[in-house]
Amino acid sequence: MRPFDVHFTMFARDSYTRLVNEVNTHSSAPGSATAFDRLLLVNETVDQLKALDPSLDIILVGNFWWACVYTNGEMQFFYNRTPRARQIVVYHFGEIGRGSTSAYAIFAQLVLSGRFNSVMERYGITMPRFIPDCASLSFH
Amino acid sequence: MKIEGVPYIDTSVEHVGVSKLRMLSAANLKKVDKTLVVQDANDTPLAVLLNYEQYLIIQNKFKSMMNTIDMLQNAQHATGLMSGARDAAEGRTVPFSSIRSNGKNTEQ
Repeated sequence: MRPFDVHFTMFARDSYTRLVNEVNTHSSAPGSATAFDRLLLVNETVDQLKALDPSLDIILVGNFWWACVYTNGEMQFFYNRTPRARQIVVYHFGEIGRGSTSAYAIFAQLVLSGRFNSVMERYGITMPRFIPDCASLSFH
Repeated sequence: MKIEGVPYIDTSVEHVGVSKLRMLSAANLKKVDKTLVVQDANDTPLAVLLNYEQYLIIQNKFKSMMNTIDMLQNAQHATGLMSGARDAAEGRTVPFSSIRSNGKNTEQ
């Protein structure tokens, strides 16, 4: 079967060009390895996307049903795959850079601080009563 | 879809006793197309058994949801995705092979 052909949007191309320039401009400066590593990671991710089984694509939900997301290390790609045309269009890529306001961080903070249940209860979400020994399932 | 006032019977879910588990050989497990709710002698639900593919579907839905929330909370990603989508809709794309580089002023 014909391999997938990867295209970058102009926005993604500009990001890629900036990264290449960063590597070239600071080739001997301290920290340039980071840009170089990121460039290699982007190239590697494109290769992985081409080889990825389309059934494993993670499609965003709601109004973003037309885009898929792929994470490789700290790099995240947003793209669309057209299996019939054997084409992948990369809309945007960038580092995850999870901050303290990300969904994962908020969830982790709630669980680790033992406030998960109390916050959920405030929204009317409680543990099902039919589960035996419900207390042992509390997120503390 | 549940209609108000009309009892709803989900035919894809079967409530079974623990003894049913003993009958589940590898061959039988492959054939399980229903979600089994395993109950004890007092009809208290103890566990849910569903096939591997069904579990992966649920897992992927969860991943999709979490990734969408993450994307929306990251201004750089949300803006980038929208800008990229606009480019794609207007046909502004380039083959990656034409821009691929390994850095150090050497383009492939």
